[in-house]
Amino acid sequence: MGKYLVKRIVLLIPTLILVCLVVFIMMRCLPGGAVEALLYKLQAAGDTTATTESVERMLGLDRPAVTQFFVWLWGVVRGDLGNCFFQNETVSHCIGRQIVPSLELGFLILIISNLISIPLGVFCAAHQDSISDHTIRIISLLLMSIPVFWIATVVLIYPALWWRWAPPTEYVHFFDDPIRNLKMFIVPAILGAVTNCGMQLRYVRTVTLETMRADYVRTARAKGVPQRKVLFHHALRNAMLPVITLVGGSVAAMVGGSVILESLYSIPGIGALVVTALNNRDYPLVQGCVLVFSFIVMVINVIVDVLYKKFDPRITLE
Amino acid sequence: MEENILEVKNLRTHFIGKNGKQVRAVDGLSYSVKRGEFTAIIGESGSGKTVGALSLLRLIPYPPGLILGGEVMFDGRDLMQLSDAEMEKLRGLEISMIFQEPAAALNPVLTIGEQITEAITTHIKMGKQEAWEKAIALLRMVDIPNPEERVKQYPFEFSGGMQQRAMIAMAMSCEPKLLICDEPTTALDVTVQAQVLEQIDHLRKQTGTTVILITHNLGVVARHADSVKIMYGGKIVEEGPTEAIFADPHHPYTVGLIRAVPRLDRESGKLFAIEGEPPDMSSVPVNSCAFAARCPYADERCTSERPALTAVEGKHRCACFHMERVIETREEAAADA
Amino acid sequence: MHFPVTAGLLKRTVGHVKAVDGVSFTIKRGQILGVVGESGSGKSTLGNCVLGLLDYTDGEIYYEGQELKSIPKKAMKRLRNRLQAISQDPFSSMDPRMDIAAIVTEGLSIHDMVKGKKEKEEIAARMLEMVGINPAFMHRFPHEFSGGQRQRISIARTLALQPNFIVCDEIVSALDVSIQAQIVNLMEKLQQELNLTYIFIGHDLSVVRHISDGIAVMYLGKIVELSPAKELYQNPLHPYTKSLISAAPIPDPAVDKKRERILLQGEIPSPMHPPEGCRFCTRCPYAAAVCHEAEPEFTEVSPGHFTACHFVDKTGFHPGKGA
Repeated sequence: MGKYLVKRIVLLIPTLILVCLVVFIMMRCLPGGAVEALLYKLQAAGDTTATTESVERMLGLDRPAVTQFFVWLWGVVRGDLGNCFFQNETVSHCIGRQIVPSLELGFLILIISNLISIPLGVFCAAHQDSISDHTIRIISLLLMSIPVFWIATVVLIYPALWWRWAPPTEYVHFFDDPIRNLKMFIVPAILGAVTNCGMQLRYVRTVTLETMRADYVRTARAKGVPQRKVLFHHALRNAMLPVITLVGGSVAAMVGGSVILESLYSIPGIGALVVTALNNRDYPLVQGCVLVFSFIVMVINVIVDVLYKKFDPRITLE
Repeated sequence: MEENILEVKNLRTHFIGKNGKQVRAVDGLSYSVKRGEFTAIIGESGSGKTVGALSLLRLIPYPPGLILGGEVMFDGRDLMQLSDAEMEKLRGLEISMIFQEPAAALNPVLTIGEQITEAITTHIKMGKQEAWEKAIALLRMVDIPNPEERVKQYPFEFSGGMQQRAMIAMAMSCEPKLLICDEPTTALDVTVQAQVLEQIDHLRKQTGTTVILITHNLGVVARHADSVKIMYGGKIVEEGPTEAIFADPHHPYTVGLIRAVPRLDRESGKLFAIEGEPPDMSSVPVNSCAFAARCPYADERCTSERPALTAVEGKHRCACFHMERVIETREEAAADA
Repeated sequence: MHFPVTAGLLKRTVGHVKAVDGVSFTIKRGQILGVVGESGSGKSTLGNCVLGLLDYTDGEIYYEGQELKSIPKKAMKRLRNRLQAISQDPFSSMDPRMDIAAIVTEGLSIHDMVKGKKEKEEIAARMLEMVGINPAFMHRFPHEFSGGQRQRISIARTLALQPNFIVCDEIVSALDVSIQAQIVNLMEKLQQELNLTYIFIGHDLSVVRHISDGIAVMYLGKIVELSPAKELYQNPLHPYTKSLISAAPIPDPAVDKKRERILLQGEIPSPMHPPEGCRFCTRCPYAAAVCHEAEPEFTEVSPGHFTACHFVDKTGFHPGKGA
């Protein structure tokens, strides 16, 4: 196990370098550049000495692309992601600041979504074709079809109109004031969870039903094991295997994919940061963000594989 | 030993097929089994032999299956009248079952030991350590080498034959009065099949457990069973002591079945092939012998009336209107050969 | 005509698995060679090698006097029709959206043997008739037929290519007893009418014995005994054959209950790590020191009856000799 982990972590390095290269090339292929934007900004601010060349030199874009890449890569290796083009801070600092709320939101969505979808999915499977099963499935279908921006807007507007209540818009760090922090996050987290859990619930229901039809479940019943224990001890354990894969896959989407919720609920997250950076062609910031995203995704993949091993003895990690 | 441990009366289990048709998988099944006996139920696919056995334990998945009626008297109680909780207490403790594909019948994510101890502790109050020791003893009983190590392993680490032995160990863990084996060796190799069946027979003699073996293999029946029941179209068409059935079959289906199997010990000549296919139990008329469509002796009576089991000699019973003609032709054929 | 098909010393290496190792036999035209063995014995691999479907590592296979590997690609393409196979599960090899007429004549179109819809339907009708399927059903689809009927359709598909040599790999194993007899009878009838040659692979000794002229018993990639079919039950020489025969019950209690029983211990070892010496030594009740050291020679004990066992000589089986 330990050996396997080391091997996986070592293998992350070439993958990350490849990611760096691809992002770097893709950024340079985008039309328009940071230079014009910054030059315009400087001139507007009254700096008349600024020229294209001077700005390029300032950003380090005057050197050949290959040199730029290796300079950046060397920085990455040392843990230095470079400086933002437009803000006066380092990329690491900027990402570090913005990613915390995003991670918190993603984490909350993940927990709430699983707390809803797994028990309800199993419940539906255990009561297949009952009224509650049908009701829950219809609701889940509805939740799947509702666009998140619409429901998020509705939930933001109506409480404000009716009860003059809106979630706080000023971000406070969780450790500074957990109550205020959670007050801000709870509504978007629930919204993210309910829109996400529809599909997950249906998936949990399907795989649970499948395992409940398995021969070993029949064996357990033939042994006299009570229905409830058969469900939890035999069916569910096997059903969790595909669910882990699904949940693992959705974690990545949750960290980076809640841009809409973040912007509607004024959460200073990384989603909005990437969008702005992309528009500004802020090369180091975009590269840094993508790198961090990929790193998170890869780490989650390792965790999923290890968890898989824990649940399924047939898998040998090598 | 003349007492019946099991009496099934007019059991009916139907399924709703994909096309909405009602499939009468088990359709008026009646038989009895003596305590301590090794009984074989022979049938081809679709004969209802597995559904019949699962119905005894009320393990028919609903939907699409439903036990419509009948009586299953086991050791003085009607299993169909028990509550679900009472039924759960009985399964595994008094009646155990082993299945066709041991690889699928064992839970892949639990160790063999966990699965055997579960069978024990579900019914018997016992400490964890004690149950574990008993699981090891059970594995030793079914001749699994090195049981102390094997008990900690997962099913995928066992070969097919050993998986089935582990299933037997699990089924025998509470010393049930009745063990139902549903095609236990179909997925296994010939030499392993012989080992497993020998094991079952040996345990039966040791513990006095009654065994019902469901199979399509006539050879296995001839070797191990005391009595035989032949199922066709959801009910018994002929039953009796093994020797009597093989030496003096009365039902045209039984005759056909025996003559369809080539013999290893002698020239079989051209095999006798029963024409047609096993019946589709959603389209056979209710008041018809299910075999009529494939039977060379069938006449109008066969398609308008269901023959009942009638005594031939002693325990040997057969459900056919044309037994005399069947025997005549059978004897002529034997004289020719 | 004699010796149209010869397989000599073939050895196929899959990774480190010797699925078939040092196997030699001949089949005469119009004969049926039965191959029996448990899973992992290499019997299917043997069939595929003979068909030229698998590249054998070493050895020669002669078909009508020609070594398979020496046949040029183009000629081999034509030869393919003559060497055919039927498998256990025909349904998986049938396109569910093709009607059975199309399935039966599919091979003909691939080999450009027939053109035109009418001609194809005529052939399909003739082939279906031959295997006992009503030609009126030729526009139905595979899922509308039962397992036994599908096996007939698959036989019709094979016959359409006019083969003279067919490898039948467990073709009746998945079928019910009554249907199994129908298919066995059909295969016998076709063999006689068309003078076909079969390799009939199976695990049910009594079915294989019934249909075959000669039987090869395989264990872990080796033929341990090769005998005329009639002789095998009367006079089995190899201990594995003896136990295989003993394990196969005879459907007659009066006979079976009197038979001597040899119960083998354990199960067939993994072909990845075959035992040293005789492959059967780990399970053989008679195994002695010599069996763990040297591999026995495959020798002819009586005309047409070969076996590979240290304890068998011209006078029979003598366990303990040389121990």
